Amino acid sequence: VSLLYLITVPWLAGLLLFPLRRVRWLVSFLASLAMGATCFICLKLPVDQTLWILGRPLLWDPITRAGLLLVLASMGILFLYGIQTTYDEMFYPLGLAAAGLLVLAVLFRTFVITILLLESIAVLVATLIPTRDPESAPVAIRYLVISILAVPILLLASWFTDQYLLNPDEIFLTQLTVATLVLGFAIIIGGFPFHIWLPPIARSGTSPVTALLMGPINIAIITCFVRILSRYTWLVSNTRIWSIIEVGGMLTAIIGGLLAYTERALGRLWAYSAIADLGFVLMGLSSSSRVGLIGGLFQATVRCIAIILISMSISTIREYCDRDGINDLRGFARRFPMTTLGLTVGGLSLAGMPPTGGFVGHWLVYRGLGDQPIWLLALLLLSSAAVAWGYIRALGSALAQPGPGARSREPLLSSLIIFVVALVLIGTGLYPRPLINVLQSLAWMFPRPSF
Amino acid sequence: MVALEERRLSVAALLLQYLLLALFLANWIYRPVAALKGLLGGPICLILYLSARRVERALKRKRRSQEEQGRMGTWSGYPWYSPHPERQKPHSEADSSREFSRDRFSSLDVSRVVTSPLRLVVIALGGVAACGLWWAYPLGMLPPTVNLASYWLMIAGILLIVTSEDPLRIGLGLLTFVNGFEVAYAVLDSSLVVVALLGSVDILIAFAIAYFAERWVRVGEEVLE
Repeated sequence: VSLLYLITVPWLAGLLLFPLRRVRWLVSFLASLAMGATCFICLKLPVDQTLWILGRPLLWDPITRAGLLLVLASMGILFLYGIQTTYDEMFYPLGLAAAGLLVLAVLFRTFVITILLLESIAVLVATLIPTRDPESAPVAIRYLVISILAVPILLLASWFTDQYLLNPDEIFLTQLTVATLVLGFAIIIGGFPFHIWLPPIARSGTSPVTALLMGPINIAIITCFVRILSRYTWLVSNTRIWSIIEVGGMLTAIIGGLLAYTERALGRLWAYSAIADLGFVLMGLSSSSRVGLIGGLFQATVRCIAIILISMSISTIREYCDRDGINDLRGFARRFPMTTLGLTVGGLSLAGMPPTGGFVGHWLVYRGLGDQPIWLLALLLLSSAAVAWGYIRALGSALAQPGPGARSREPLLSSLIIFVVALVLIGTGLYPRPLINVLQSLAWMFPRPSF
Repeated sequence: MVALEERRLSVAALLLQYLLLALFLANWIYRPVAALKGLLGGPICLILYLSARRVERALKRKRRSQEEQGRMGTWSGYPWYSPHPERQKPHSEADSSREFSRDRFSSLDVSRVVTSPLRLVVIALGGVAACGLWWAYPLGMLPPTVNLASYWLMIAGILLIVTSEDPLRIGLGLLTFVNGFEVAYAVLDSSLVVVALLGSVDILIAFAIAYFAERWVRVGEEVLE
């Protein structure tokens, strides 16, 4: 098994499925099968091998494998859910093409090429955002503009890293690299400025595309960031980069949580809660303790699953309810119990509430924070509570007496998929040890200044 | 490009920008690479021109229908402003979004070829800002003229983005911004792989802009109907 299979399978599948795109159940099944095959290749490929393309190396290491497995598996679930839900017909071929580009972006060791591939992914996914909502095309172009504005910043960071190797005594170069690298990545993962593009997409775009941006693509970007850092040891030993990420994470978690509390539309509640949770992931990844780092990795994993779960629930809600206001959910739980379960479990996981996997991740991140002042921990807890309250409010509305005339029922396969994913999320909360063991071995390879 | 309101002429201005940039870059980088960058403007502008033509036609159709409605004596010439109680107040967020888009789409003036003086003033201030930046923060790694050209194009692009409403004009601004950055980056790193990748991404961006413009026009026509 070669790395070439991993790169070509998503592309080939995308090309083959393009003519079939109108037969939605078939294309959905085949796309998820292709993702399953790619995950299988990921598991079978022996680590620490290198492939050369265009004179540039592609490296296959355990961190890359773990990141790609999560990305591809979550995309597979997203595709599978489309069997009984009406996704845009171009979602499958373009989604598979984006998966192929994600694999390449994560594998390439050359900073510039990784950035340009990430830019291509942003452009490709942006074309999936427009819907019949009149505001969706302007929202899509806003996302495109923001993503492209981040690219020059990251290309500059790449150039600064090359310059540093020539002039290692230039302290100013280190500062510039840290500033441009952190700012560029913060923009493309939606961490900064966090209200600009993600919540409008969650409101006007389709939920699978929003999930793609917040879940798998975010994980791939974080993996790329980690791989870039692991290449430049002088950046890893610079404590300022970790401090900036930690402070940025705290601000993201607190402000995202408070904004989620004010939301009455499910789409934007989902976006703000995901942003708040991203803050916890960043705090964990930048933590100086190994417990915190494992917490960050754990939370990144369960966050991706929770985002996919909520996406599936919101897809069903939008398809059958036509609107996604919290107050429009009246009586929804009686007709769509699994969708309501998925929304609640996913939301509580993003909020870090027991018995979901999010609780374990948040708990480990809190343990990693250790010496932070008590008021800061209280603010973070308040932010989590605010997110949880948003989803509990939605649950309360869904449990109310239904209005007259509502007769449609939950599709069987969709409810089964939601049930299984919700079970996985609760399972990681009740029995987290297997996942923690896997992440513990990864944490040793993670670029950190010291433990 | 900023001065012209007619979108097809703006695309022609973008093509001119690509050609001039290629000539300018030929002084600093390997000439075939500079020529490649200039040639790239051809397919990009062709894609955008086809969209610009469609957008202009749609806007003209809209104007004609507005004039006809006006002759028929509809209130203000805008049938959707009739004081029917169902239309007076948006029912939900989605409805209000539709109303907002309808107003925005219908308020676009298609009769002008040249833009408002305000935009010209803004772009003149942008020019001053570019010169100020170049003078105050010169990038040592770049030749001064490249530095000034890069600052100017990036600022002009950003100004075009923030002063435009429709996806096509925003896209033209975005491509101008990208050109501004690429002119500087080409001097720093003009390896063939990077140039080819940047070119592919530019074409992808042009496709995306054309798609957004088409979508915007189609939805605009739907909401007007």
